[in-house]
Amino acid sequence: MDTRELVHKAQKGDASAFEELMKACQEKLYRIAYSYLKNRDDALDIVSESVYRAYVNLRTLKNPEYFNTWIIRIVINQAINLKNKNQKVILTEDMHFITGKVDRLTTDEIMDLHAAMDMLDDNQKAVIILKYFEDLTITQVAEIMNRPVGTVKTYLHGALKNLRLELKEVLL
Amino acid sequence: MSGIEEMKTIYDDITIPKELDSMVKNAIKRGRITMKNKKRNSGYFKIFGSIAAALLIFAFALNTSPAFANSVKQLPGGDTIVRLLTFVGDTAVGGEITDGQDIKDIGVEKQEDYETLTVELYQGMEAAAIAGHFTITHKTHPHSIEVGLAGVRAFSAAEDFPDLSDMKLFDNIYRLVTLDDSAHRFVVTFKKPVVVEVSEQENPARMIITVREDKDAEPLVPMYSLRTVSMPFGESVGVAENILKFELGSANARLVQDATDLYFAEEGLYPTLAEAEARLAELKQYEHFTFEMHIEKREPGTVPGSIE
Repeated sequence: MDTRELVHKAQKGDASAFEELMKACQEKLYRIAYSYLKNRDDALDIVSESVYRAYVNLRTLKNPEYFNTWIIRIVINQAINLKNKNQKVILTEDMHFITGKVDRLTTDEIMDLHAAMDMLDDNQKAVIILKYFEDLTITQVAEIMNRPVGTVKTYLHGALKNLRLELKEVLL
Repeated sequence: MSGIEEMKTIYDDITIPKELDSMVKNAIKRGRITMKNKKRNSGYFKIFGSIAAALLIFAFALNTSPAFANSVKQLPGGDTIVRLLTFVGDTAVGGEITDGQDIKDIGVEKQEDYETLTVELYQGMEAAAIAGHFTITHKTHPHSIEVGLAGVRAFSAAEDFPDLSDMKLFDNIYRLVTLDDSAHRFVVTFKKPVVVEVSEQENPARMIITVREDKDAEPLVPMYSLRTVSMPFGESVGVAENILKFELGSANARLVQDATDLYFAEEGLYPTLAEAEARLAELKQYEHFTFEMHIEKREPGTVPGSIE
C-alpha cells in the first residue's frame, strides 16, 4: 500500500495504518533528530513527541502525499526547540553511538566533521541533512522548511561555504 | 571523497536504538487516547452543555434535512456527529441499515464517576461511516445490557475483549450465539445497578455506552428463572433460545453465560415459583421443544450458577 492510501486510512482513525507509516520512516526521523541533538535519549524523546503530535494533528494534513515532508518538519521544529532550550555541549561519550562502523575515519576526524556541522546554523544544517543525507530535492526541502526555493538555495550555498572552510583542514 | 560524503557515511551510521520501535508505538497509543477524549469533548459534552432548545432545533434540522447535515459536516469538527439515543422502556435503537460491517474493536475507559465502552465498526479495512442498525436492551438478574447489531458479518473484537478487571462498574463481556449470519450480539454485565446512556457517532462509526452507578435504584427481589441446562457456546443453546422466542412466544427469552462460562437459554424470570411452574407445564405440552428445563432461584446481583 502506498503512503497516500495509508495516510487516508490513518486520517479516518486507523491506527495500524499509521503504525505502518511510522515503520517506514521512524529510523529516518531518529537520524534527523539525532543530528541536531547529538544525544540518544533526547533524539528518542523528540521522535516520540513528534509521532504523537503527528497522530493527533493528522487530520490537518490536507495533502496526504506531503506526509513525509510534513512529519520531518515536525521533527526538525521539535529538535530545534529542544536544542535551543538546553544548549548542550557535545560530550565525547555520546560519540560512541555514531562511530560504530565508520572505520575509515579516525575518532578525531569524526569529531572534526561534527564540529563542522555544528558551525552551521539551524537552517543550513536542515538543508545539508535533507538534501545530502536524506537525498531529497531542493523543492522537497523547501516544502519541509516552509521557505521559497530561492531561500533554500541561499541556505545551501551558505552551508557549503561554511563547510568547505571548516573541512579544509580535515579532508579537502 | 568530498567532506559531505564522509559526513553522510557518519549520518547513515547513526545507531538506531532498540527502544525506538516501542517508543513510537507508545506515542501512537498516547495519540489514540488523546483523540478519543478529544472527540468525546468536542462532540458530546459541548452538545450536552448547550441549551436544550438549540439542541432540539439542531437535531431536528440534522435529521430532516440532508443538506443541513452535509453542511454541518463541512464545518471544522463537524464531521463527527454524535447523537444521544433515548431508551424507550428498556430498549434503545440506533444506526442505519447497512451490511457487511465488522465489530472491529471494543474499548473501555474508567472515569471518576462513570465508565464508557466504545464499540468501533469497520466496513472492510476502513472505519465505517455509520453504525449498522443496533439495539441495546437493559436486563436484570444479573444487571446487564444485551447489544445486538444487524448487517454485521464479522466480530473481530470478540477475539480480544477488553480487560475489565480494573473496572468498578463493568463486570464481564461475552459474545452470544446468534443464529443469523448477518447479526452479532454480545452482553455486558455490571457489578451494580447502573444508568446506561448510549450515543452514536458517525465518521468514524462508533457506539459509545456510558454507565454510571444508579444510586437511586430500587432494590430488586430474587426471581425464579425458567431455564435450560448449561451448554457450551454453540448451536444447541441458540436453537433453544429461538424456539422459545419464535415458537413458544416467550418475548423475554434470552441467552445467559453462567459462572462457569457455559451458556443457557432462559425462558423468562418470574416473581414466584408458582408462576414459573405454571409456564413450565405449558412448555411441556409443546412436543417440538425437547430441552430439559429447570427452575432456578436467582438473587439480583449474582452470576447464575451452572446446571448440568
